[in-house]
Amino acid sequence: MQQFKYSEFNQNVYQKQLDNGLLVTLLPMEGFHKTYAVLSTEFGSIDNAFVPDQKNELLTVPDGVAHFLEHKMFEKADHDAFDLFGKLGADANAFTSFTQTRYLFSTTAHLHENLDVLLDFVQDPYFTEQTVNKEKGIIGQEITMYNDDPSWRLYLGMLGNLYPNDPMHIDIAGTQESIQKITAPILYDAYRTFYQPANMNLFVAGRLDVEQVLAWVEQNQAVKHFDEPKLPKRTAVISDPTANDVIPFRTLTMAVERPKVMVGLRGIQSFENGKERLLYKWRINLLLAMLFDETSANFLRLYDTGVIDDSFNYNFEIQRGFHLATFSTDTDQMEQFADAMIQILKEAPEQLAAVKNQFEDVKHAMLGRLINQLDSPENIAMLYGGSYFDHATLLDEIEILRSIDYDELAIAIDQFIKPERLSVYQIVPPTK
Amino acid sequence: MVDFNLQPGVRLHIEPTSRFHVNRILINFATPQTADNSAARNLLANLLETSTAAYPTQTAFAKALNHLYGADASASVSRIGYAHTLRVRAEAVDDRFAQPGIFASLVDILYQMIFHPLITDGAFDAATFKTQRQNVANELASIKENKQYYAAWQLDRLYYDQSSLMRIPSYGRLEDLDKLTPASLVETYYDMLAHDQVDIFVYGNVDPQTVLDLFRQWPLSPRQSPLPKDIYYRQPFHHRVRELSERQDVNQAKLNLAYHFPVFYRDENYYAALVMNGILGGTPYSKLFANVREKASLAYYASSQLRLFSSHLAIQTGIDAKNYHQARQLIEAQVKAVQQGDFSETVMQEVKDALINQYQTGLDAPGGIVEHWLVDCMSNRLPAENVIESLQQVTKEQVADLAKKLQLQAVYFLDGEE
Repeated sequence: MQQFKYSEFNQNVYQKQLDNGLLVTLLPMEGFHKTYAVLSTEFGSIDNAFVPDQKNELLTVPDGVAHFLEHKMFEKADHDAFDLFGKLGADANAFTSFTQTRYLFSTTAHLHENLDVLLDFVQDPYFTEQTVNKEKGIIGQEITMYNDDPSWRLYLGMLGNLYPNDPMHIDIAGTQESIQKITAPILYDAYRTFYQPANMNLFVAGRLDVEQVLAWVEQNQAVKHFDEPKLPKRTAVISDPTANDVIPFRTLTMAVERPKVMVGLRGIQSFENGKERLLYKWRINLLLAMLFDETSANFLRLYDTGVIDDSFNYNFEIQRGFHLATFSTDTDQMEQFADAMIQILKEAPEQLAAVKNQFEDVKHAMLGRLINQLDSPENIAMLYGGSYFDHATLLDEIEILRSIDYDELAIAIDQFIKPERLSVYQIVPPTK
Repeated sequence: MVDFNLQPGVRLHIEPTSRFHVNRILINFATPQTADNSAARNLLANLLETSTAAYPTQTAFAKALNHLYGADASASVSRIGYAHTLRVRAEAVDDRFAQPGIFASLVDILYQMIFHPLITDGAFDAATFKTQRQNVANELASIKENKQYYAAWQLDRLYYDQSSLMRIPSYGRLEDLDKLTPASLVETYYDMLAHDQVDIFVYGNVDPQTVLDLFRQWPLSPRQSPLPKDIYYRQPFHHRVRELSERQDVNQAKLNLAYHFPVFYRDENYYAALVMNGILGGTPYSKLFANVREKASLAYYASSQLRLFSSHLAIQTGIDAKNYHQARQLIEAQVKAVQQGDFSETVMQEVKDALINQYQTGLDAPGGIVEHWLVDCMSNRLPAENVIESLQQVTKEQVADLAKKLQLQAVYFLDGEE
């Protein structure tokens, strides 16, 4: 077992890869009552083409399989895993994103039993034609619900502009049509390919005894049979790595009270390792904060002229295989907003130089907000990005952010900002 | 916890702890809800968190907070029973992880925010006022976009009697905003400062005496609390069930039901009510979740919430409109089942364990702890003790008997357009 010490925060992180390939990370937190455990597989909605385990042919599956699988993992022949957590007083949940599926519980009692339930239900698939078909109603409702959410539609619309030929432009849950095509054999193929321990990790944070938890997990895994550790074979996610396929502009008409507009920027830089990715992520976060956050002159100018209001938001995200930045607001001045965002980005080097004296404060503020997350086991566990970021934890990210100098932001501008990869998506109310 | 009376009607509550990396301050101004104070106080909260005389733009204000390692300071309105509350919240990383003086500087920023807002010649800055009034108007209009929230609010409106002040949302109504002026808001502000009950909560790595010395300097005058001792809203049962259907351009329909349920926060039936609600629809082990969502696949969500300050319980579901009758019948059948004691001891124990887990988990969330104190304080309750024992002692008979108090009062249906 490896131990990483963070003496400033009086915090230790323990990591061990088990013989079957499962990577276990433990982060004990003094004085806490609860324990938060997340079992993740590196399988998300974008992984829609892969070579199934034990087979040779590439299989393309209907959109929404990862999310469908997540729903169905809880149900077994004679029980529901939710009920097992319930009997043990734990609070359980699961999420599917573009690149990961995560199963989790939080508890203040029976940690050993709850860990067994978590590992057992995720490592024991049970799908039948009947249970699969029954789920289509529930997931259909879920898709319908998200369809009514303008913010989600705006975001998904932007992904459609930036990645028109790639799977992230489809809702994580799939579509009403695609989920109808999902069958038990498809779920088994996906399961066997992506739920191998070598493609998964377990993260436990909060109240815990390191030696004990590790022993419990090892005991649980030792009695199960797994094939030799191996990683799934999937196709490259991005069909056009040069991003020549970005759609510059689209509009959706939808019943909203006020128009919504989003500007998006697709990045194409690729990196050797997780540490480089995190460096890139925090450089860009710093850059965007200096140019766009509430302390910036840009923000004040746009706010005072009514181009943006409190709904203004910007975000940078980097996930396995893709990364992008988005800028959005509710506004009656959609063109002015898009023009302003694009202009600021195009002039990023000059803009940045003009606010150089703000760098230390912006960086301190960002550090403060990360340190703030250390008070929450669930945030520590959910911010953990797995193998794509070389299994770095929040504590490593704090160190990476702290290491960044002002001069490095110029590198990030060079790598990320290219006007031809900018796009605009808007949602307007119907004309009455 | 250490309590000080800074003045009559002004209290300071301090709980030192070194468990967390962040220190928190909550300052609560409370007064009874009236016909026209909620919109004014909502806009006032917006103005207070936007700028101050010393930091006249939100950029200057945000810079001051950034300088304190990303401290946060904000204001918002909410309601606890009859009590309309304007809450100013602040948090900052403890000095240990940043630099000395962060906490004292944070208190100073709050002082600037509360005692020196951007007022000149008896009026709030005109440009800021105009922008923020527009912002509030936009936010009120956007509520309609969150269909789940919108439907929940429409159900509440339907439940409350026509003459009830509770029909006015805590954040106010669009039509009230137009009546407000930069000068009228100054009156609202001085009125709040002089007459509201004030409670200041500090939670973090602090020394009580130092904190007391800081807040003692604040110019808060003595006042008689304007709140009644009992702030709970009690509405009598009415015999006719109020029904309302509305059509909008939505894909998923919402079917929400309100039941009269005269049980209040921390009264003698409080813990039994928590268990009852957990069995009916408050947990994943509940009847609504198991039967309406899982077994019948009728809904994506189906849950119940206690309204412990306004004598009711709300059920909300998101369904396919064509299943209205089936869903409604099934929901009402679940209520009946709980009333008849048709649930197992096992399920009841699961619900109790989940509630205990929730309670203990809450002890790890500093933000929630502070808000909880506030609610206790407003309800004139001491901090809860023996929570786990109280939950464990709830019996099946108590739950069924309590459920018999549930009487349908309102049904709201949001349907898609043809």
